[in-house]
Amino acid sequence: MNERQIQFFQYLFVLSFTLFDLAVLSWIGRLIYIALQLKDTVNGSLGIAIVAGSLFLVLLGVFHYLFWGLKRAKEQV
Amino acid sequence: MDRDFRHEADAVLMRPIFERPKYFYPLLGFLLSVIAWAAYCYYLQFNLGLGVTGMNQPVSWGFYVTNFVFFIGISHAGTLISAILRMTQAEWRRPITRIAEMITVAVLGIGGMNVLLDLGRIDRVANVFMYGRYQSPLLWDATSITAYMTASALYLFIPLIPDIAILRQHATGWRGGLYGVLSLGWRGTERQQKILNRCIGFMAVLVIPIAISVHTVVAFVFSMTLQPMWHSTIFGPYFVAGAIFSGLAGLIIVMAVLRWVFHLQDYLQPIHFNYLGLLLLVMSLFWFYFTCAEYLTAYFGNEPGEMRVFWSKMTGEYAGYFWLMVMCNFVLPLPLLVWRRFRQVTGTVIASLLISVGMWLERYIIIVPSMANPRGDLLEKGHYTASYVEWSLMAGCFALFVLIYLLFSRLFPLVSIWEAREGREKTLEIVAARVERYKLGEGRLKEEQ
Repeated sequence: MNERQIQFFQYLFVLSFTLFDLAVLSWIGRLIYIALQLKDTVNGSLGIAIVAGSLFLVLLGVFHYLFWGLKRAKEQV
Repeated sequence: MDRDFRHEADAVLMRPIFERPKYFYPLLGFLLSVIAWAAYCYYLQFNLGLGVTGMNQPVSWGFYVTNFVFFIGISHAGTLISAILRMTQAEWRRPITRIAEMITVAVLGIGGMNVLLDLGRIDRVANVFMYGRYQSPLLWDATSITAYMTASALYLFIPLIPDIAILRQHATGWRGGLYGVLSLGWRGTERQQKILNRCIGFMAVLVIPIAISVHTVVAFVFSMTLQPMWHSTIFGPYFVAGAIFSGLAGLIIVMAVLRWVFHLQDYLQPIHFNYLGLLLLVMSLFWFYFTCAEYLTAYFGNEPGEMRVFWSKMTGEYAGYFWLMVMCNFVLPLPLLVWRRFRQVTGTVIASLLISVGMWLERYIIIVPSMANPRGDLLEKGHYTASYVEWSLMAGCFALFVLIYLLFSRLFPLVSIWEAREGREKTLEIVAARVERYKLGEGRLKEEQ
């Protein structure tokens, strides 16, 4: 596998993780939408969603920090 | 043909990756056969319905939910223990963190799968995603397990990067490509190491509350109901303590197997088993304390619904399981873990095997007796005996765990090579610098200087 192919798959890897994370976030968003529509424990649902949503955003942030950080540090060599 | 790795200092860690072990195909065949049989049993269950299991009314939760709680509990071996050891800078952690982290990732998936096995209509699982409501603790579970799984996978992957880069130097063909992609351009520069350490440190802090919340939420699935002996405020911490307890036992067993199979005696030394044995002893005492608190409170309350469940465990239908659990979790491991003479590899492994059986029984007798003795005099008492379908699927779960571990061992080192190297080169320096910081009685002298 040459360098270009490796880079392509690395971008695919980071994209997959990002899409997975966004899918979970949109699922949490949908649960909030249902809670609002049914007026079903809206406050509790919002509380859980804020905690869980922030966590997934933090995980996404860590992964991107690692990916781009290592890449930049490699180019600095 | 992969490039020669034998001249490397930690060649023994790379051997299972570059040299196929003799037992690989026979073991793979055996595991796949067990999994295929389990898949066939699931096919029967899917076609004929949950009637092929031992579950009935009112006992609608049996082996599958027991296994779900058990496997999620074992998952605490990894991330939580590894994170705590990293945060406390325990130098002896180095050879065991990866083994522990991998256990977490493998068993979390298997634990989650058991919930799906319990569904009569698996095709309706999409409804959880489409129409789920956060009013239900089951949704809390789905959310927290997904978060824990994601965080654990990331926490396993980040410290793997330098090792993948080492493997990249020796691998060719598809392996070379795979390692090239996953090493994310790692060259081991100072800046890269700094970024990596920052991420590992941050994740170690992050996964501890996630891990604790996961098992608390698993406990909430029970304690948020009004079933007798489930509606208890102590269930959250009781489950977390039990999870760490069973996780440690699982970790010791896996370490012993890997030590023997892959000849890792130089890495997984008796002192590691000794230290983990001490942690196991502490958790055994904690578990006993929580169990006493839980049962004594129920007994003193003397509420009729709870007492039916209580006596079914103490002297009734489930007494055998209950007392075997007490023997396995407390009475028998105690002498093995208290005396240093026994707290060696064999002693801790025997204690861990007993505890694994005991903790599985604990999950079983939390679930089944409460379901079999529902609150209210009008409801009939139930009985539960697991069918061969449930036993087969349980065997399939254990086979799947071994399979995942086997495949992982063929791709990645089970002991962190770079951390082992760092330990050899820098441990004395790191520890000396740390001790220097808190040398007793010298703080005042330093300030005066």
